[in-house]
Amino acid sequence: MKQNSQLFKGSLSTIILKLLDENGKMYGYEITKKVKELSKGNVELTEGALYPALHKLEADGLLEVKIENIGNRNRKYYSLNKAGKKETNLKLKEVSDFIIQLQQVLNLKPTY
Amino acid sequence: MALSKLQIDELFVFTEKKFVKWYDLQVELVDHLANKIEEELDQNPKTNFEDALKKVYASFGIFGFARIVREKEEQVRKFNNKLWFKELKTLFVWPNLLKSLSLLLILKLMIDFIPMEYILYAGLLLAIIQTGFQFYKARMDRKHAAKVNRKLLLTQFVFFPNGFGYLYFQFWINIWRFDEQGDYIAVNKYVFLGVVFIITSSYIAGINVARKIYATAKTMYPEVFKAA
Repeated sequence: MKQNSQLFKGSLSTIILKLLDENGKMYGYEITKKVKELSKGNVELTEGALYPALHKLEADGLLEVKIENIGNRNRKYYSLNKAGKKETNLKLKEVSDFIIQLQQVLNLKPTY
Repeated sequence: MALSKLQIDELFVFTEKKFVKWYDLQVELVDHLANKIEEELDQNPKTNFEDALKKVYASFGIFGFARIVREKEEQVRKFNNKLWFKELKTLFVWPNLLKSLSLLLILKLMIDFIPMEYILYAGLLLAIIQTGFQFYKARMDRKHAAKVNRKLLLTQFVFFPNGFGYLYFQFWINIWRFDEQGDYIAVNKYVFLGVVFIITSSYIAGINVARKIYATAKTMYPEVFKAA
């Protein structure tokens, strides 16, 4: 089942920040592949959603950007800076609290 | 299968045809397209480059690169504004505060000891020279961009020095007030001092931002700044 719902879109920046926190530096295509791999193909991150979110995080001063030459083309790598690391922890806590509150309200039972 | 240099060049031409005119954004999109095309060619070896490109571009949706370009332009604009405010604030923090206070003192001494008309003449002359310089610089920038055929979004909205240059020019034009006999009407000295100080500080902050952005751009995309 492919999931591309608003729920995921709302958490996109948190997903990107967390991936960068875990993997150090990453480039756009690598992020889409990693999301697909981690969700076992259930979440497909489109380019139209990924790049605006990445560029917003960059403009917010949370990311460091580096251009590296990889043979016959250049690649733009993103990594977290100090403010980005702080923001990642904050966002993860927010998501974690949200899940707990949602669980309390909806009283969902695990399906596995 | 890794794409050839020729195919990468084709991708740059392709992004430009799809209305991505900024080289810095093209670099990122070309790498993304290339990765996806390479994956497609590995999975379906019978597919050719052109068909793979069509398929990969279709995955960007009906608007293609449009949303990515629009939002990136917006983010760069916001980033520049934020950087300018940050830079302006640093002018009022030690040790820059000392320079700002010195500027204020010099302006104060000027209006106390030099007749206002002379200051206005000097200001107007400076504004004209500055505007002329701006036109010259803009012309040179356009010439260079046409030569290297690459434009950076990163440096596109560095307009604060130009914007404040215009404001400065307007100020010196509008401050001339004459009565019916043609005599100059003096403006309030302290209002004048305040306005000149604000414009000058904003202008200095704008220049500092432009320097920083150009330094980053030169490090990231040295190929754009090489003479054609």
